[in-house]
Amino acid sequence: MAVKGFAKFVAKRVLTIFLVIVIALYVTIFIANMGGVVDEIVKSTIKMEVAMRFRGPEWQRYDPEEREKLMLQEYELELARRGLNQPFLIRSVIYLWNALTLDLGRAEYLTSDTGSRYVRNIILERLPTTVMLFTTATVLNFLINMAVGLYLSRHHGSKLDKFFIGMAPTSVIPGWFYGIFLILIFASQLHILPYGGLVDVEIVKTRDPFLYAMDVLKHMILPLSSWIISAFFLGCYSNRTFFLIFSTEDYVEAARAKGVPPRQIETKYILRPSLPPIITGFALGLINSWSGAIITERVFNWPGLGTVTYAAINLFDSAVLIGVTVIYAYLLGATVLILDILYGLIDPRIKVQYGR
Amino acid sequence: MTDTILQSRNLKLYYATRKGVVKAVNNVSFDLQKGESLALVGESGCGKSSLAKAIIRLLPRNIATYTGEVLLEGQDIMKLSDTQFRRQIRWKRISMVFQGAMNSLNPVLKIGYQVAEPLLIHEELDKKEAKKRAVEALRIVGIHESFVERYPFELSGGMKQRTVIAMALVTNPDILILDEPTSALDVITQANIMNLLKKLKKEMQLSYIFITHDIGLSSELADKVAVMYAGEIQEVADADTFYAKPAHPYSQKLMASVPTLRTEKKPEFIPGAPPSLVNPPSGCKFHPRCPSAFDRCSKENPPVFDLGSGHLVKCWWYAK
Amino acid sequence: MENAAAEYSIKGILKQLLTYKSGVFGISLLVLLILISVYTMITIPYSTAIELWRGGENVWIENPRNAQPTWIRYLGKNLPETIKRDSTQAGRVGTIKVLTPIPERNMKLLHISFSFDYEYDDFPSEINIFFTSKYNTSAPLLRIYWIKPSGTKINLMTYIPRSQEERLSLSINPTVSNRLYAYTVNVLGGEPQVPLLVEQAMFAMEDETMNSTLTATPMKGKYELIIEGTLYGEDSDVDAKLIVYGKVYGLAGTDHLRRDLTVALLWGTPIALSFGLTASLTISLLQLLIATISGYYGGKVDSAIQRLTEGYMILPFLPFLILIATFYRLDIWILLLVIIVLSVFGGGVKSTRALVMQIKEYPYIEAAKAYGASSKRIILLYIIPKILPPIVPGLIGSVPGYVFLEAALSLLGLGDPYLPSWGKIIEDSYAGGALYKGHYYWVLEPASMLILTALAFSFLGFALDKIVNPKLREV
Ligand SMILES: Nc1ncnc2c1ncn2[C@@H]1O[C@H](COP(=O)(O)OP(=O)(O)OP(=O)(O)O)[C@@H](O)[C@H]1O
Ligand code: SF4
Ligand SMILES: [Mg+2]
Repeated sequence: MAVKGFAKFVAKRVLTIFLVIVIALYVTIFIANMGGVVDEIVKSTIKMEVAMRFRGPEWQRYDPEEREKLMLQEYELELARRGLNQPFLIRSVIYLWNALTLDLGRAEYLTSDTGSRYVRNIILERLPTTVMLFTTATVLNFLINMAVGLYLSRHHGSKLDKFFIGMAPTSVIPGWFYGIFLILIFASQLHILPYGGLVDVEIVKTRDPFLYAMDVLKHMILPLSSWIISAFFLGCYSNRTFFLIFSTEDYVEAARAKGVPPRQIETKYILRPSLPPIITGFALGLINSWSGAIITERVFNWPGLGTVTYAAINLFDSAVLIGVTVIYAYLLGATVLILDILYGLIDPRIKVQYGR
Repeated sequence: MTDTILQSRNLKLYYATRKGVVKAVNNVSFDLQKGESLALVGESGCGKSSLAKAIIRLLPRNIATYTGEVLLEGQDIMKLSDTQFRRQIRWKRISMVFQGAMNSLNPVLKIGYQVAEPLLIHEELDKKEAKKRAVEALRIVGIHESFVERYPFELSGGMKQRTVIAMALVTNPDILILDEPTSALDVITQANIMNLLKKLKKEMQLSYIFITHDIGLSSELADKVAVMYAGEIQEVADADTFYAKPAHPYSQKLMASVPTLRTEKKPEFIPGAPPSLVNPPSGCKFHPRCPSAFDRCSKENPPVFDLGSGHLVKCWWYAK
Repeated sequence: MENAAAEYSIKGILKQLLTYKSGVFGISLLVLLILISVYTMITIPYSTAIELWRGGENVWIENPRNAQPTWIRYLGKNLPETIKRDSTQAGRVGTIKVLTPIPERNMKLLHISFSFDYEYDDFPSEINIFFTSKYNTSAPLLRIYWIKPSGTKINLMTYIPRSQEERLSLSINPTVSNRLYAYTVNVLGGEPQVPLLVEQAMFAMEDETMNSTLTATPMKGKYELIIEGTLYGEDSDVDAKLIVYGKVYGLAGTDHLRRDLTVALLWGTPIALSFGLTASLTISLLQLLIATISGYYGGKVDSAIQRLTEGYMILPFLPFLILIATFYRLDIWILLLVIIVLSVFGGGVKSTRALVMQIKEYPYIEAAKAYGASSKRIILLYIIPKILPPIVPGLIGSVPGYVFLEAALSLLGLGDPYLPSWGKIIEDSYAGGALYKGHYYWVLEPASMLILTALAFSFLGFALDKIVNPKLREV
């Protein structure tokens, strides 16, 4: 029974999140096409595809002018076939469908590492690098801040605790900004870590997967550190305060009165009840990390979505920019969904509501 | 007279705060007989909860002073180590229902487990046995077995209160401290809980320390009444004596502030602000608000005068 | 309840703020930043700032490129400052100009001599001579000599100005370069390992250190540049201006376009403050309004607003912003508007709504309802004044976020196309490879300003939080 109820909960969340994604994509298309940008991308993509069809040797015997004419005809036909000669309201729905199915057209300037011109390929190729770096950063931050926060809440009022309180305001400085300083110190001055990028060309040439992995790790040190430093003081401080507030709840005192040993008080009475809000905090952290990725990747030249975005901005590659927005909508949606499910597993309220 | 089960002698509990030392419990002495219920009444902030916590030794971190004697059947439990106290006294002998019982339940643990938990800890029962006893305790307070698997948010306020009482009773203690057990409940639920407490007391031979700021409510359950003001106990008397003829000027004021059905008299409010526990008034703590105050009151703290048959009053008026 | 119900006066809050170290720190920083802003707007009016910043080479031609701030000299090497000599100001220190007509022949002999003492530990960055010539028949013929403190006289080149205003860049002139190479070979008695740059050869000690750019060291003493020439025609004349560009400039140094960084650093202050404060203030107040409506009216309005805020959480905020900013090339104030629109249903709504729900239950609000006060009246007179204090710390504390957002957008190349902001300097420095080339000042200066601003608001926000939420003081 409970399983069925939970499936219902998940289905409901999937539907809601999907709806938001649809809206986000429609807004994207609407904004982008205010100057007809989407129309242009679609048309040029179709034109290229039609042109490809006319490349074959069987077309070579036509004279160029006639071929051009046939091509134009074919292009018009294709437009009509896809319903793209209709008013914007209808076209926009077609575009929306394309976006939802990740049919994102062709890039104007950028290509993927494998040489593809399709926006989908360009973006999907970069997605894993971004997800890898920033999920690691968020998870590391989460664990470090939890552990230190817990420690501080146990020793609250101590010198160390006061130090963290004092330093907490410094966390307004974002990770990418600390990144600049870290590059300055460890790359420019000390020359012990790379300025940026994913992996050294030299290492790639060795074709040794172990060396490759180690080198990627080496390139991750600075970006990860920048995010950890940025979140450190405030993260630990707020976790500490959070635990302290949770440990003044009446039921904690009641448990103490009952004689529940300190260990169990911490796990069952402080940590467990505070888990749902902690999960929410983690979700927000992950969501922020996706946005923060764009600028951090620019600083560290990390070849992920952010670097593609930066390149697309500078080359004015609209198709890629729209594609990035689409992927981001999906990425955020997926993140929220996963964490919703996690939340549902932990919070008895949801378990009960859908479980019985 | 029956046996005395609990005695408090010169009990003190002071808190250290930014503004100074808060004298929340100041030289408190009283006796509790077996099977008796003592109502502890007084305005909000006078130190009632602090006294309860001092007895069951559940102290916040910012303790400045914690001294005196608490005798449980003659044994001074203040002398026990923290571990001994936790093992031998808390819940085994003295249980407590906290103020704001609504929040005394962990939102993510099932009711049954929470009620059974003291058994798992103190009596080292196995889970099955503990659960059986928990079901029994819940049944006694009127909660059906099926609720064992529920979470607190599925319960009404009255049911939560009953659960917390069950949680306190499950280990069969001798003394139950009830800190405002009905204050957040509506009138009907309040009455239900009061009836339950009366029933339990009779059936289980319990002694109560019943804390309330509602002097009307205390009359339903109390055998004896202790009035607290500014961290001190001002008057102790048999319930009948007290309600008929309160001796201390503060008690009189308190009684007058209760709306009654019998008389047309409007309830009076006690004029003036509650005293500061950091810088309490000199002499008798009540003198700035006392209508009967005279010279001596502001200069010397009155001792306790025995008016006979255990009626104790801390007021200069009775020195004459 | 007492915390939300407590009344606050500005004076009272200020007094309390000063009892916290973080409050004092935040306020002093903020006052400093405001003073800088006011000073900037008075001394460099907006239009002047834009002109200076967008003016191109001509405005700044007399400045060195990528010069470090002058005070850096106190930390290490005695780096050269820019030295200028102008023949129109003959008679001044080290400036001699003599024009001697040759009788009967309609010709004049020109002798210009610029001399200066050079006591620095490093070479200049560049050397230019600007000529202003007047002639009608044929162009003047000029010979340029260089005399080093050792007395060595080098014939740098023969120069014929082709137009009235002309710039001779010695540093990149092939003739000069060749002559100096020959001179180097002569000194060393052989080919140098790494040939010296023009400005190095001109200032180097004449010993084996000339062998490489790495070992060359400047010779201290008096240098002289001599321009001799023959002018044709009655009213012909030639004036020259020598600029030996240093490696330090002003308080803040210069960028790759020779621009004085103080302009942008100063102007960045009012821009950052107004951008951050406007964004934070508008967004907070709008969120407050939405939250109040949501919490007060409840029901359908409430659940609609709640769904909207939940949906907003999943919207790709930054990609949207980037998309809009790229496609429509927005200036900073329109960008601000877009940010506001994209944030109104953000996270603040939820927490403020919870507060409203709490306050709604207060007896005096029930009372006001009972005697028939209108909803508008209750919201404006009872609820908003109560929730305003608790949201102020958040408002102040979120200012840095927006300041950094502007910087981030600039770093992505989406900043305002005209305004000089801190983010733009960082972007320039990044694009100019400042971190690779060691132009640290270029990054560190705007970065420090950003940090100062961020810390000012952040510390202030934290201190205010402690005052407004006394609970935080206890834990
Ligand atoms: N941990 C603490 N630190 C400092 N002061 C405290 C602490 N706990 C309670 N106090 C103060 O001690 C005084 C007595 O508090 P206590 O909770 O015992 O009063 P009470 O009579 O139970 O009031 P109420 O009827 O409101 O529950 C109050 O002034 C309270 O503010
Ligand atoms: S001692 Fe004096 S002041 Fe105190 S209660 Fe008695 S009469 Fe009143
Ligand atoms: Mg109490």
